[in-house]
Amino acid sequence: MLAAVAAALLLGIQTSISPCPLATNIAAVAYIGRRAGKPGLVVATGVLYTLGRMVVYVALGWLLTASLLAASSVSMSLQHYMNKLLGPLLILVGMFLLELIGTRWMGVGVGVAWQRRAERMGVWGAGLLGIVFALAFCPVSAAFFFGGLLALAVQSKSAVLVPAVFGAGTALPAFAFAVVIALSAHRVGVLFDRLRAIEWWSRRIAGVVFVLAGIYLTLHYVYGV
Amino acid sequence: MRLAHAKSAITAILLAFVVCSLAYAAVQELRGAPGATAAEAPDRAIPPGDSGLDALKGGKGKTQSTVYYATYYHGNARCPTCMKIEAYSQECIETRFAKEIKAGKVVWRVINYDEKGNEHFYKDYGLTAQSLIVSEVKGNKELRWKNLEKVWDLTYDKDKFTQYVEDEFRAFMNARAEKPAQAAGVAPASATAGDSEVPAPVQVAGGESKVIAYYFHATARCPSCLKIEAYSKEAIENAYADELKSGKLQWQLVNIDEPQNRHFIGDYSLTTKSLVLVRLQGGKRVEWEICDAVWDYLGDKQAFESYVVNEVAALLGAA
Repeated sequence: MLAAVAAALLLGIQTSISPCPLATNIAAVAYIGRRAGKPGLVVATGVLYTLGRMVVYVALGWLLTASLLAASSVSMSLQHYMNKLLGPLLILVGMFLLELIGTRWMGVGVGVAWQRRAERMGVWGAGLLGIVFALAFCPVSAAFFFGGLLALAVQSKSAVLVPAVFGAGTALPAFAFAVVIALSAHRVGVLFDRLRAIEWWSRRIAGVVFVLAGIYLTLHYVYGV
Repeated sequence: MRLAHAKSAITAILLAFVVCSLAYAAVQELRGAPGATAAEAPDRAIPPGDSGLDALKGGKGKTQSTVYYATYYHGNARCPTCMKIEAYSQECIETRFAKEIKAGKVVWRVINYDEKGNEHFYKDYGLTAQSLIVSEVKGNKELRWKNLEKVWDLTYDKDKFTQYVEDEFRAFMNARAEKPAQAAGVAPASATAGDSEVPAPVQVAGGESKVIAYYFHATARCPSCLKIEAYSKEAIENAYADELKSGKLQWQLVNIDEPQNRHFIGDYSLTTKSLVLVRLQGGKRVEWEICDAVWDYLGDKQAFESYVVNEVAALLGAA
């Protein structure tokens, strides 16, 4: 059992450090680390992102091991459709982070209450982001999940724990990276008394990263460039 | 002020890009891949089911009399070459078989297999692309059929095309007397259609067997997938040059995003881009294997290649 869990974790990490999900991973790092001014929020965002990924893999693992769905068609259609939708979605999220869209819909005078709500939404958004990114299977992640991991889950008779650990493994590198970057930035900010600037920049950078990753994914998956 | 202008310009450009991309993706989905062409040898010879006959026969088939159908099957996505094949075929059948058509012995028809209710034809004949199929129907039964696969190679020359279709169809009609025992589905499974980059499958007689190494990929390629494809191809070409030459072994690239290739996903329960080895016996799939360890050997080219060579050897040995 322990061996199966360890193998699942390794598979998860291996999945996320392969080149294919690089664009989404960079976006995830940017998103998690974008509240560099508040380390607590960074960790909370990271945890929710991880949970989002775990939910997807557990749900898929359960549906598939219970034979409610055929692995082949699920995998193929997720790879086919999710990746096409992902690019445009990332661009929209990036624009939202850059405040190019969204703020005007809520009225010109953005009140303190709304800002607080947006902040909370941003943290919860990490969960959604985790779900969407997990659903956007790459060939490598599909091979590992539908091939190796499901077999492992069936073998060790744990349709929940093994996929959950796998999900945590796929989120771990991005999470760790984001925390390291955010904490260093925070340190620098405190040291030079520039916390506000750090916060401002980390948000803008996150937005730009999302837009660029979105453009890249769209060009690749929609236009086949 | 200027900053605000730049901001709204960027917003407009990005939004336009998003909308255009979504629209483009939607159009792609609805139309299937444009100019679908790639094809490969189907490895299954599934006899057309009776269900297929109801539509095939329509109201015209008189019970118990033998009718020969020449049917052009196409999908929603049409390409210039496909239209040409349809036009040439129709002209050939209608002019060279005018007498037989009048007598009700020959029927020309065009069927869209993407239309509701026609999807089964796709599987029935193992179609991989738009195809011209001739078949013999008696009563309610389709006795045999043949895919005139060379139509794709002859579109450049109308005379040759017409002659080929006429010869094949006449030979098919005459073959009945000679080989009454040939039942439905025994028709050659090595039907092929497609562009020139796909090697024509070598015809294999009766019980002979061969192995096909498929690499299934999608339109969007990834670095690891390209590596797997390159390594596999290299391993096979280096180790099995003779077998490739004799047709005992065949290397085939298939894009599963193309509508006519989607059936492979179900055929082999594919979950991702995969290297699949298939052993055919007399045109029928008898054994197949997904080489899923390719992902584990990506970091070690030598181990990768020897893995592939060994897997192929196992199937070739059985062949």
